[in-house]
Amino acid sequence: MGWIWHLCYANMKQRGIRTGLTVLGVVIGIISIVSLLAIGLGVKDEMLNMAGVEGNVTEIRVLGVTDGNRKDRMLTDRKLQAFAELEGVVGVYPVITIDTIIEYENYTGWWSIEGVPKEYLEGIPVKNEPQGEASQRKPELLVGNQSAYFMYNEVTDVSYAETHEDEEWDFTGDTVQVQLGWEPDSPSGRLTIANMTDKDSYYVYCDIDLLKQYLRQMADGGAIHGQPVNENGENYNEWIYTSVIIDAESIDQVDGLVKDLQDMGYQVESNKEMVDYVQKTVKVLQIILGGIGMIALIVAVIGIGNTMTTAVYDRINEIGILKVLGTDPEELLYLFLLESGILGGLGGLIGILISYGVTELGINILAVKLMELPKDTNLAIIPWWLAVAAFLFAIVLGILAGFFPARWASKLRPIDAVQK
Amino acid sequence: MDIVTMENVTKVYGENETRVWGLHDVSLTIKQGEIVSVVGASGSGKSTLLHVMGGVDTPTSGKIVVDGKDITKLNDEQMAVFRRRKIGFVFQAYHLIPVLSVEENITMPILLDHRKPDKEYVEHIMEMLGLQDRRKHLPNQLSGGQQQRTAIARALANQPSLILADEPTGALDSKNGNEVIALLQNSVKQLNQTLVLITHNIDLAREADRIIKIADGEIVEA
Repeated sequence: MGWIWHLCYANMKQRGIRTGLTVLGVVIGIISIVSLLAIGLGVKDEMLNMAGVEGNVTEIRVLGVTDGNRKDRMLTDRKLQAFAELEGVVGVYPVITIDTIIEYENYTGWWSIEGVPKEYLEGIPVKNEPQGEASQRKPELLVGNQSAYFMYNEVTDVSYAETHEDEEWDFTGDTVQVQLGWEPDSPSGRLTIANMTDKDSYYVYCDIDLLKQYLRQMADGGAIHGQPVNENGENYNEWIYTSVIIDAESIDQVDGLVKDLQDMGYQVESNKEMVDYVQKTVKVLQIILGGIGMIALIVAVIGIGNTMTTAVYDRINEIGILKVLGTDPEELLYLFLLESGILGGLGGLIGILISYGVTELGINILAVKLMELPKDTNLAIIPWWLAVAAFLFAIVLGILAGFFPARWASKLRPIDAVQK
Repeated sequence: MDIVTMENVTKVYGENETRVWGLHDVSLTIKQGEIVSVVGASGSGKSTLLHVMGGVDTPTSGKIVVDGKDITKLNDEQMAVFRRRKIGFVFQAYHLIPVLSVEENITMPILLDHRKPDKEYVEHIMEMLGLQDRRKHLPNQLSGGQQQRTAIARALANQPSLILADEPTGALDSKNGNEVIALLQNSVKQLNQTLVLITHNIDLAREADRIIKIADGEIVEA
């Protein structure tokens, strides 16, 4: 079999230009299909990230009753325990939400402050490196980077976001006057802004324990702001949470959990619908992109087929010599299949390498810059399995394209081949 | 010892009205070590005779025994094995493989038979044909005479039972042609081979042990 490799190599080398052009055809085909599929895959992840603007896609928010006296529908520590025991739940985080009016410079803002457990708070990506120890006396605020849209100038009625359009909004280190609730006589105090969120968010977060402590302080023995009261106008003797964030183990478990919680009588919000919608949209996008890539690849395959057919016609004389010299018909078939397989494989390999370059430099850096997306956005992803599949695909297509010319060559009668 | 025995071999091309006789009831024997010339006008059937004897074409009827084997009973695969082991062809148009060097062309029949070339023997035939200095050259870097010498070396490489040469000097000028024929006959004698040689050149033909004359697919004088 050694001679097959040798003759194959000698042929491709001697007919360098034709070999090069055929390989180029495959390279272009592979680049098109791999890059387009890579975009399909990358865009999916990116859209899923966007769907999770206000939280992770595996998060479910259970809304509780916070007024009246339907104690059974209120979210208490005991209810949290029950949620934690549901299947597929990996985290349960109580939330106390206080609607506030804040004063910052000459802007008035309507901020929803969410008290969340420390471990949840620490999981939120922040913009600035934390400076020093957090205060243990008063809650410090982690402000959503989109909060500027809810801050208006009292006189002009223009939002902070509009007047500071060209700047990065960063209130870190500043203090704001926070009024608990919208009634004019609500208690009010100054709170420090410790950091800004790094992901898009309209919420303002703080530590729930410190928030509880602060609310109790501000109540000064009276009813605690935001907490429901019983028939006697007193708070219940346990904390009632506004909502509970439940983290599911995986996105596939979200549906089941949502149903369980609804069956328990709660109102539930999740990003699942958005995720489903995104996945459906992406699938359509992938089919379209893959289809375009496929056309490019088919053109490349026709190219190999054409090259192999020409190669066979060009070499009828050589085939004839090999036959007269007594080559096994089977080995002659291998010779041509090997050659077209190598053409396909070589094109595939180079194509995949260039695709990595195209997706990294061309799409993930250049296109992302042009579209002004966040720096580390991955619009195109080539997973290892796509690279391997594309390589094998190129080899198989090469062999298929070479098959008919090769079979024809192996069946030629030696005398016809020599005399042509 | 008879190396070739042909009995009532007929080769017909086409059918009915377009029927053409390639060979018509040809019988002959060729002995081991003989040099036989085949002469005849073009279209007389001498090439057909060579082709059916070498197993690149099949006769319509009759029996051909080469080195003790009835080759008319072989299938394609067996025929390929027969050709590479028993027959060495030399053609007018050289028919070298253009992408392989002189040395690679010469050893090709051995490789096709899945054997390792006997270096000493290959060296010996290259020396005999004056090709040592050209071993790395490609066919298109050689003169016609050198190409034909390479083709002869290739025909000898597998130490076949029978060398079949179809007008090997047809594409060469007379000086080169005579040289090539001399080398061919010399090599065949030295290696105790059997040669069947088609030629137009009556002087060349006379140097053979025996002359077979063919006309209209029939042997007219042997």
